[in-house]
Amino acid sequence: MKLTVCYFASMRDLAACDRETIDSDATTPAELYRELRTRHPFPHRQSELAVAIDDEITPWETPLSAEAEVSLLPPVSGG
Amino acid sequence: MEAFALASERLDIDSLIRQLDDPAAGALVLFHGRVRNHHQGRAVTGLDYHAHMALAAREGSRLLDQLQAAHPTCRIVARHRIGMLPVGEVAFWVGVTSAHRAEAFAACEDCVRQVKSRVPIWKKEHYSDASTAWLEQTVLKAEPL
Repeated sequence: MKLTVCYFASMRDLAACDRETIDSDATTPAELYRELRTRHPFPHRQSELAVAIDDEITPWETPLSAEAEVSLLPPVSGG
Repeated sequence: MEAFALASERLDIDSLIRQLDDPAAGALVLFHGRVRNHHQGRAVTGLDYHAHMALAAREGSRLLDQLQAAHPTCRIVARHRIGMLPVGEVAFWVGVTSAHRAEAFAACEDCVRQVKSRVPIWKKEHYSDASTAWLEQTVLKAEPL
């Protein structure tokens, strides 16, 4: 399944890109993140992140559909 | 006037205040969140703000709707800058009007606290020795706002 993953802040620096399209068998964002940690040196535990699918913050066990855009969101620091 | 917006240019605060003008408002409470020249003992030269633009705009608007409902006697407006900001620049601005000061102060504090913790915005500190570090402070929640 083709998925687009978007990275922000420290994760963007660690992935050395702000987005990438990958072929993955992951059925949920939780599975996808486990897979992405083998590709990039992300230090965050899943519990330290939030995930958005198509610009909506969503639970980690939400089913992924083909062509979904998944955003990994590290802890925020606005203000 | 939008209740919440991200801004890539310097905020026109005089214009924002004029737009909040209301003869029924006895109180106008303003918060200017400015770029500080130090953090945890290190000399800071600037802050680089990034956001998930689509999500931040929507979550910010939802949050302001919710704050407006929670503070019905107030009018609340917030702006957050994106991009590289030097020391002294206003990065985050909140303006609240109401008939009386107590509810305006309360709504302003509520807005500052919630925007900082619930909108996907990040800052990278730039230090005087040319090093940088992303700050990571609050895990976003999956529950709808």
